[in-house]
Amino acid sequence: MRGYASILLLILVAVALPIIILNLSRLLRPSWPSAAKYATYECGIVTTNEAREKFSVRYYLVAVMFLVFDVETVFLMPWAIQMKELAVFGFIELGLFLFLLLFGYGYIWSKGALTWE
Amino acid sequence: MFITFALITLLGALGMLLQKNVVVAGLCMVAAFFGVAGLFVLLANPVAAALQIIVYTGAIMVLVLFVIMMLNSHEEEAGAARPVQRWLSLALIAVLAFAAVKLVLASAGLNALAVKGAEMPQAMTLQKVGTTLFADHLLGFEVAGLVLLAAMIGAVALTKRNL
Amino acid sequence: MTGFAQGLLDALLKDTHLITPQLFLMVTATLMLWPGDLFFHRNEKHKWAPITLVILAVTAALIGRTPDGEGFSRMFRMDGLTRGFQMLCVLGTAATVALSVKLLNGLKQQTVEYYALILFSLSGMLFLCGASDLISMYFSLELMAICIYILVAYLRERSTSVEAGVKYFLLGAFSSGILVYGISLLYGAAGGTTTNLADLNRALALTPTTSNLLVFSGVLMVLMGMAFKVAAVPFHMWSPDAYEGAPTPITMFMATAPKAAALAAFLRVFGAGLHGVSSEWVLPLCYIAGASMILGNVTAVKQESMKRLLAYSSIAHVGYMLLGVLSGDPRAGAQAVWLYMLIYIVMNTGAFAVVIYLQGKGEGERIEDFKGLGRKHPVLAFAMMIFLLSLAGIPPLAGFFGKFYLFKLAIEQGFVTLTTIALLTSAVGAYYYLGVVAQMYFREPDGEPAAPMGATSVFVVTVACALVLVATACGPWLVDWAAKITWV
Repeated sequence: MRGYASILLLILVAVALPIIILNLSRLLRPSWPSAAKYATYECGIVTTNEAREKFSVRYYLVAVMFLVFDVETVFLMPWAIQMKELAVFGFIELGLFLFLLLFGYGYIWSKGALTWE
Repeated sequence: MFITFALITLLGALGMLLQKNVVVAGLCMVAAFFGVAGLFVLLANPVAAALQIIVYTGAIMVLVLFVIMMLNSHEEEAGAARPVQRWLSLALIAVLAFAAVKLVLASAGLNALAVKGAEMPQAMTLQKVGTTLFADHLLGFEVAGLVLLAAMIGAVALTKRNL
Repeated sequence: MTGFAQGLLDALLKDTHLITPQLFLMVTATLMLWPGDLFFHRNEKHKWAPITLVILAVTAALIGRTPDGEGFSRMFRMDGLTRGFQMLCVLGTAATVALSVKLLNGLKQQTVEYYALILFSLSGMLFLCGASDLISMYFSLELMAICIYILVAYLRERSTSVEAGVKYFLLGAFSSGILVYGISLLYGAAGGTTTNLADLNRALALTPTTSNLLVFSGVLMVLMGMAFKVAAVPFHMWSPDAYEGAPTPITMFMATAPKAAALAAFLRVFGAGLHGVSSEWVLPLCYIAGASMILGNVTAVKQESMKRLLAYSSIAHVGYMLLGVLSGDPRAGAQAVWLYMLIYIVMNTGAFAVVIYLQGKGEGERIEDFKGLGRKHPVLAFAMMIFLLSLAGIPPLAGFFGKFYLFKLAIEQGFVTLTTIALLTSAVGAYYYLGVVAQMYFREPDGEPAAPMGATSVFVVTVACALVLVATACGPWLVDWAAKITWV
């Protein structure tokens, strides 16, 4: 467990920092609210609609591609560590795996799914 | 430590279920995933913890948030249509939880633990994962590649306008 | 190179021949997608169907040539059971591809993805038939299922298709979760060393009685996950909706090939694998089988859609086939289930081919549409009658042989109550099958005859009808032949 102390510290700092900063500024700043100050853009641009806009389904493909290649890196990690020991065997195996995925990538590309239609 | 992570997981899961605002519910899910990652670390399995964070809080959450943004439902959902179902499901959950606790208490491992005392399990390392993954589970590894390929094709087939 | 890697490489080269059919499917399906697809213009994609059929024929030949053996750290096992059920999967897939052509042409939905996904799914099934380890069973199941989720939602302009796909996917993902949880419980109960079925069986049989609950919940969860895949009651909820919404050839696909593969897994996991802890799963499986027979047959009576009727009837047929899994003799069980599945696939293919033939542009699948078919298309109606009577198990048709053989086995193994239920529900089954026959022959046709379509459908109907009749004629010979195969 000892090795995790630094990670724990990092998490604690990451959580504490915004809390401290926000509260500190709340304490220090003067507070005279007015309607104009509560507008989304204080600089004077009038908001036209909500920020939560409907996403296009086209992002879906991007999201799935991200997921697939994210999982792929997960599989690459143990191979990279065991590369020396697995030698040619691991290379063949991973080559096949990567071939399948890169093939999928090429397929998506050739279908024109990467172009924004 | 265990209690902390277990609480984070449980509260995250509960928050996800009870929260009416879907975006907040999604963020509660992230908290639950982090809690699970912490539990993995406590089980001396940092690999699983890292994967939990990379895959779930990274990739899966992107998809979940994407779906939330795409559906973009501002209306808050009405309560369960039939209260009977709610009560039934609560009763079922109670029974299941009771059974799960009983299962753990009755398991041989816990008895052995009470006799021998806890011992630290050997930590799971990436080296070990690499060896088992590429030697014993090689078939599964390649089929996983195939599953990912099929998923990509499926995504294209279901969303691309003109194939 | 280290000795470790050299050893692995040798093992790999030694084992690869066990999965040549799957490798062949993988390579051809990927080549079809790219660069194969570049050679065909947008409106000649239908040419992929005959190419797929050729690929399937080669796969069948390769399966026939693959020798027996076990490999890949005992993850995959090739034996009579594997080969037999792999052949059934290829048969069901080939029928699906043959029936897809005209329908997809009519809908202008011909794509290479459709055929490639079917082939990917098939390779998952081929792995599943031979999975001798819970892990390999799980991932082959996923490969098979993910492709089918997509195929169910394939007609994405049609809301029923998408709805069916989403329903099937959500419930399927949930059941996979239960399955994996069950596997992990079994893994833990056996000491956390193995997921290989034979080792697991040995280890679980030795576990102390204190951890019985753990073994029981693990076995039960694996059972639940797998029962979902074959749509056995009470895990059948998805099947009528998915069957109704999916494109009809895919409905037929779901009713045949994946079912054969999942039953092979059932036979391997429960029939041949975990018999050491059979006290844990026999009773739940009995309930599942009995409930499937009763609910499948009784609910089918009230259906108005032909596809839903066939969905409920397939639930009932799965109930019958689970009798073979229950039998304490894995060899006889495998043989009986295989025979039943073979006949079931042929009859079902025929019945679905008729539905597709009448379906025209994708509508008109109600039972009422069969009204007066005997007058409009006497030959087609005759074929449909053969299929339905055979599905009902009326002697002397082929369906009767399958049932007779299975029930005989169940009686011999002492499942008298369950067999009685099976016999009674078969009678209920005959009622609704005959109801369709009555619609065809004793009701006057009304309105315009639906635009019939497809020379391929006619061909499939003819072949299936001929096969059912041939199987009827040489039933005993077929049984003798199946008995000669070394199953497990």
